[in-house]
Amino acid sequence: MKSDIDRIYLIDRFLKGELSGLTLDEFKSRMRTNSEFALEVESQRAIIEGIKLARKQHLISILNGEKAPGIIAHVEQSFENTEKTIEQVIPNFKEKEQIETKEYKLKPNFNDWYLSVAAVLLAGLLLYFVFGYYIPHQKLEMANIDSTTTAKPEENLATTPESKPDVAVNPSLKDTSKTENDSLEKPLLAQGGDSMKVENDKKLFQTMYSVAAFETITPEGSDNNSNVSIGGTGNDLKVNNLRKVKGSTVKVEYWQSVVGFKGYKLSNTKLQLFDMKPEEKVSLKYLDKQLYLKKNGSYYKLNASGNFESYQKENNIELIKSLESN
Amino acid sequence: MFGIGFNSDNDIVNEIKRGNEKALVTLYKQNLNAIKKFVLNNSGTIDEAQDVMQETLIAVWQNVAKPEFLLNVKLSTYVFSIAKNQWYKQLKKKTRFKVVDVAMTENIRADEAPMLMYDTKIVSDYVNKLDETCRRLLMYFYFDGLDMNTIAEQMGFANSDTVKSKKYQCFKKLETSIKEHFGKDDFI
Repeated sequence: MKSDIDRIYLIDRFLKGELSGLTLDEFKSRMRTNSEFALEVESQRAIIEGIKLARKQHLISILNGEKAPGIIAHVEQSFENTEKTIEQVIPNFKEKEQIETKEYKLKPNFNDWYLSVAAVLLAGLLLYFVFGYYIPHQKLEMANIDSTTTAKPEENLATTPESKPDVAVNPSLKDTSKTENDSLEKPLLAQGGDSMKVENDKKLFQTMYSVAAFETITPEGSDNNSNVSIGGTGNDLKVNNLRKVKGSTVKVEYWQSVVGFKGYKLSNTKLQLFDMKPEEKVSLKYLDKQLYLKKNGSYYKLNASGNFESYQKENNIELIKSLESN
Repeated sequence: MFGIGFNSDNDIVNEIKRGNEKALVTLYKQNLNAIKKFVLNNSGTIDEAQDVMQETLIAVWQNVAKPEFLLNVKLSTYVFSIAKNQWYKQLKKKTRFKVVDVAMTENIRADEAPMLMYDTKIVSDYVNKLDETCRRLLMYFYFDGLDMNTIAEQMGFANSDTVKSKKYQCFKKLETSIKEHFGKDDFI
């Protein structure tokens, strides 16, 4: 075996051109005289050429970004300090521009796929918040504000003389609807911020009434109050058995209920009338500090409870006579 | 040194002498633009530039790996000079440029290439079928031209004698498989 090793090594040196002088002459002489040795030399030359071709193809595959089987992995282990794999550094030659781009330009790194997924989810959540909640919510609020500020009384009702209510004493027709802010006009928003729009009661008209007030005269201090005594300050004007006292101003609003409510709501100086049109002739009168509404010849007692109440027709004949007497 | 790449020509040369194929990659990156531009500006195509680039780097690899190699100029200058020679050779092979240099053309003789006993491609296929150690050892020795000591250091053998013995075993294994493939009568 030792001789075989030496013989092959000698042939290697000959093929590399490393032999010279006497050694080279002896080698050539042996080739000429020993055909088997000459054949061995040629065989070795052919095999070496094949080894070179394999190595060359391997290196070319590296340059082309192809991983030759087995070799690269071992090289990577041998050179532990190397950071990048050859495949990462050298793609195909024709993709040269991409190589330069990889070196000098920053590009998103999608190797960390979970970060990309998290970013997409976050963006989706943000879009949902903006377009699915915030903007619709804002639109709804804007719509509600608009409905409040633009809820104007119908102009024909507010300006035509026929539409003026039949009031007892010179109603001062002041349209203050634009400056009023009534809780009834606020929308009934569904909780949770959804986009359901609730229709509101609609205020048709409002005005200020100076309501006359009367007081029943008690027998004490006056033997007969059947006659009217006009004079004095006016605050104690006597009409039959009644006397006129200082009235008050009442703000009257005409509302259209979306649920068909028929009734009223009376607080101290504010009266809201439902299911009653501004053009209908109504009048108001205080009798013994009780407010009465007259409509179509009928009187209705209005309780200042501050709650929604239905119209209650007054059937007391004596009371009606007293109301009718002035 | 490798952690931050090959910063100097000496680094690259040393790594090539060690058989580190990643030095080849660095050479590719450093010289790609210049060689490509040169070939394209001299009637070449992108494919031809690729061929020149490959042949150039293979030649540089083999030359630098030789123990006697000494770099006297910038490595890029050396690479570019080889690339120019490679391209001029290819130009002369192209029919439309065959009367570029009559003197040099006359020197090229078809019978210069020796007739080989075996088909080189088939031999290379058998080389690739060898185990990794044998394949690398034979490539380092016959193509890269690494000496026994360098191979021993690179591949983790005890010494050069071990490499020499192992190299013999690998070579005989390859030779046996090739002869089995061709048979004695199939020699070219």
